[in-house]
Amino acid sequence: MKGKNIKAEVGNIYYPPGGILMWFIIILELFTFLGAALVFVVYRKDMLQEFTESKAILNPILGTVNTIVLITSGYFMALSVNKLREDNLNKSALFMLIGLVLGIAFLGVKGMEYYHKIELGIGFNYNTFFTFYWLMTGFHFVHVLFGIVLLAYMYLAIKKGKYNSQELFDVEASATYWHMCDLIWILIFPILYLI
Amino acid sequence: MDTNLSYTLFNLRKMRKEMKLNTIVWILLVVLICLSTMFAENGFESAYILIAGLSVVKFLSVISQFVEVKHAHVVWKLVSTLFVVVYFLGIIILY
Repeated sequence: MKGKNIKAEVGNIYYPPGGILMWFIIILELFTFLGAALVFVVYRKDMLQEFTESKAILNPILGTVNTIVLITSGYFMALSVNKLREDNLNKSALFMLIGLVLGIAFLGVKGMEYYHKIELGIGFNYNTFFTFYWLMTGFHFVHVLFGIVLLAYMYLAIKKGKYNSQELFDVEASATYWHMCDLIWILIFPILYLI
Repeated sequence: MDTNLSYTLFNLRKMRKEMKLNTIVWILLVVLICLSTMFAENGFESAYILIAGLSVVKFLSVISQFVEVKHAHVVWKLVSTLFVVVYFLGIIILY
């Protein structure tokens, strides 16, 4: 019966969306970034001038555009999972591909931002603000990069018909991982670029 | 109507509704992201509270609608909400 697996998992404590193991990873990752964000805020209070001057070097408009790109990628990922549940494999693959391209675009913009910083001589040891900046955004960059590899694999697998409405756990888990990248960025973007 | 067909149609309607909700949440998120940057650019004193508050709304929107925690067990809803409350309070207290 199409879509039956969705109802079976609803409300089950052992089957959060994407599976319990993925949730352990998510909780671990989110708390790591939460810790970094809160330590950043504490340091900011002590080194207010340095942090204010360093923040001014960052481009919040570019950061905002990149945030919208990543969130839009997550939106297409959610649509892809929905289409897979309808057994519409072509649309599911298409939405996955759009999400993938937007993810690559996010990394492209981030790469440009990094290149600009390196050109200005702003490295990891430049000051405390930029140590946090490189650590937090760099760690997030690696997560997104891994997510892109995952999405590329899922895209090819959907195209080959490996997944459908009955067999979609891996796709759901990958989508959950991808949304984790959104969630982490939602937490660190305002801390580094806005506040 | 055949039971299986009825069940499938029920699920299809449900999924269409979910896709519409996804679009609404995505539009909301884009608006909130732009608002956060506008508050930061204006630079008024309590902007950080609003920006942190908007981050909470964005976080809960993504986790509820895109990650589909709204369909999960109450424990996962609580974990998500508690986490983001700690984030919000942490910023407000430590800022």
